Amino acid sequence: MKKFISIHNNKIFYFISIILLIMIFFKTSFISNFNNVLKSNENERITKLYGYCKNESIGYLRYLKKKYNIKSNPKIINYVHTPPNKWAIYDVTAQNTDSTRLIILNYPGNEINLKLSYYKKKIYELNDPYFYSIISNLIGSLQIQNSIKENIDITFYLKDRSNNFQKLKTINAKKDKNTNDYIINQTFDDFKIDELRFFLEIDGLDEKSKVTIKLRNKYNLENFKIIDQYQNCYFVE
Amino acid sequence: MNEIIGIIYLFLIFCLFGLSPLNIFHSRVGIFYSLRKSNFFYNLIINLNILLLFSLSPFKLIEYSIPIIIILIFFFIKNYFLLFKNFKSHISNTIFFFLVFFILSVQVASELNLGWDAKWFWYIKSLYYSDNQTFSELSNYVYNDYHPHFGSFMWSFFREVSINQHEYAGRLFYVFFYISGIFFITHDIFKSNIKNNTLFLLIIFITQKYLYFSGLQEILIFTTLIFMSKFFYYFINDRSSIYLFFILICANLLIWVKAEGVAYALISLAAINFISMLNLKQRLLINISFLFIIFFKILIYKFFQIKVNDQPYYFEYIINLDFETLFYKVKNILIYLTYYSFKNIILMCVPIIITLNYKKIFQNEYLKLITLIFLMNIIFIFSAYIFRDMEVVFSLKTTIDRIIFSSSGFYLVLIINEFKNFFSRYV
Repeated sequence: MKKFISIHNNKIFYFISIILLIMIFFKTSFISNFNNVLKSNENERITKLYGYCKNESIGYLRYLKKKYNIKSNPKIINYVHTPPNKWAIYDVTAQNTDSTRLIILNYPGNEINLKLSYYKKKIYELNDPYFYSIISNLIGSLQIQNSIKENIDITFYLKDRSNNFQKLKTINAKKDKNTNDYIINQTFDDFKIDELRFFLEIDGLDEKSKVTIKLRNKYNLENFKIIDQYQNCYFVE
Repeated sequence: MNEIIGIIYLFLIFCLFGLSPLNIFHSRVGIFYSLRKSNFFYNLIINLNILLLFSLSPFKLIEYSIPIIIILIFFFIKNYFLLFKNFKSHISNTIFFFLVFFILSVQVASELNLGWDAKWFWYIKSLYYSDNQTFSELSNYVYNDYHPHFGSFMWSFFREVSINQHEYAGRLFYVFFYISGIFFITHDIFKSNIKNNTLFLLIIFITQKYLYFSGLQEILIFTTLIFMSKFFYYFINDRSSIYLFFILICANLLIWVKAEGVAYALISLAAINFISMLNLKQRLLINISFLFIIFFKILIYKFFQIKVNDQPYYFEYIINLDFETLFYKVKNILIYLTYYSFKNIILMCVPIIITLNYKKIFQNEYLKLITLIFLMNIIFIFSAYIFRDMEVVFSLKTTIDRIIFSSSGFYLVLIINEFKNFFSRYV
């Protein structure tokens, strides 16, 4: 082995180097990247990546910044939980957030419907509770598939930092005859959610069911003057 | 095509930071005579420290960015113009280096995606310098507390001197710095250039990921630790104090790049004190100098009224930790550390190498040093999560992969040396 390699030493290493270079080439998808850089400009690539009025909606934010020459830092409310997106239009000379104007992205309407994930017997989890506690005022109601009970007991829990369930509150929810939803009307302000996990124990729900929670949106567009709109993205004051 | 030309132009600008003006010291004064053959990497570290001083100055970026480049070009022409005929000997190195830079830069230009923390604050901090604000104004930014600024400063500096001034232009320096670090530790392993280049490409292939260039600062910590570990290696072999100086200025970069850089700087300082060949004068000098750079940072932070640390570590929380919480935290740290160590091949190799060579630990100074660093690093990871007043699983899920990656820069030289020993039996 040693003898063979030493005879063909440099040629072998040149060959291995070229193979490695080709592997790096493919690992990074060089051809499609190169093509992408040649065919579309930076702005187009950013819009393609972050969406115009979907996900982070950077395309719409950049459009607003340019059209309205925004020199303040209006508050951005995005109803899709994405990484922060104020970086796209941030103005360092305006230190504080402009509270008079709002940019609302991916607006879902006055109600936010979310499916709860089944955790274990009778217990369901609301994923991303901290994010939802910011964009909604209260937990309006609960829709439970195939539930015929008139009243149910719902207990709210947080999982503390030692991984123990910490009981917050138990309420009795009555079924609304028109909508078949169990009315809760519980504000998030009563619970200190932070970055903890949030659970609901639904009494009498022995089998795994499809449970939807309905949250009331904190921002009602009727209370604002719309300056600009594209699909469900808005610039309001 | 404009952006492709911009990438090539930036490569030349970055190279200036490696090529000049150290030659002034090297050829005229000769104080760096004991450095290994290539000055490129030493220039880079010195020039970054000079940039760090500029970043703290009251001058606006626009006032000094172009003059710095002009000065570097002047020295480059002055020092290298007559030496171009010797360039032939470096041609294969340069071609490989440039090709890797170009491939990775095109990926950054195409993908563009910024990491979560980059969107949250690193990029915004860079905007301060781009919008002609100085360190003084940056200190008003709420996320400036305990998140050092130097990585963001480099982002805006190199964006400023680029052709298109696109956001990603500044991040291309992170690519360049990373490639330089890998090149530095592989360029003198074998006598043959092509073997070194093969090793260089192999390490790039194993360690490269787009995420590292998404504006997160871990790649800067990782690369600086790579430089430091090689300087440790040179110091142990050559015993020249100049390498201690370079370890010190690398530590200076660490503490200005990211909060945990202070921990890595302190780990390095503790490890240096265990080097048996260190004489009393060197020991005193390095300890005092280390303390000086840390106090200098604290002084600057105090002057600009920036919180030195705002991480969720509270004395009250630490003393009230109960056994149940402690057990839950340790259990999860172990699970996540093991899982992510398997995902990061570098960290996984270290205990294997130490176990295989355990008899040599007290004879081989470098192995002893890295073993100590490894142990201190593991202790640091455990304490960082145990004493942090935050939900541990959430913390681990979002940060431990990056902590493992950044600290693995310490071990790459050891792994390469072990690889060389193994390899030399066959080739």
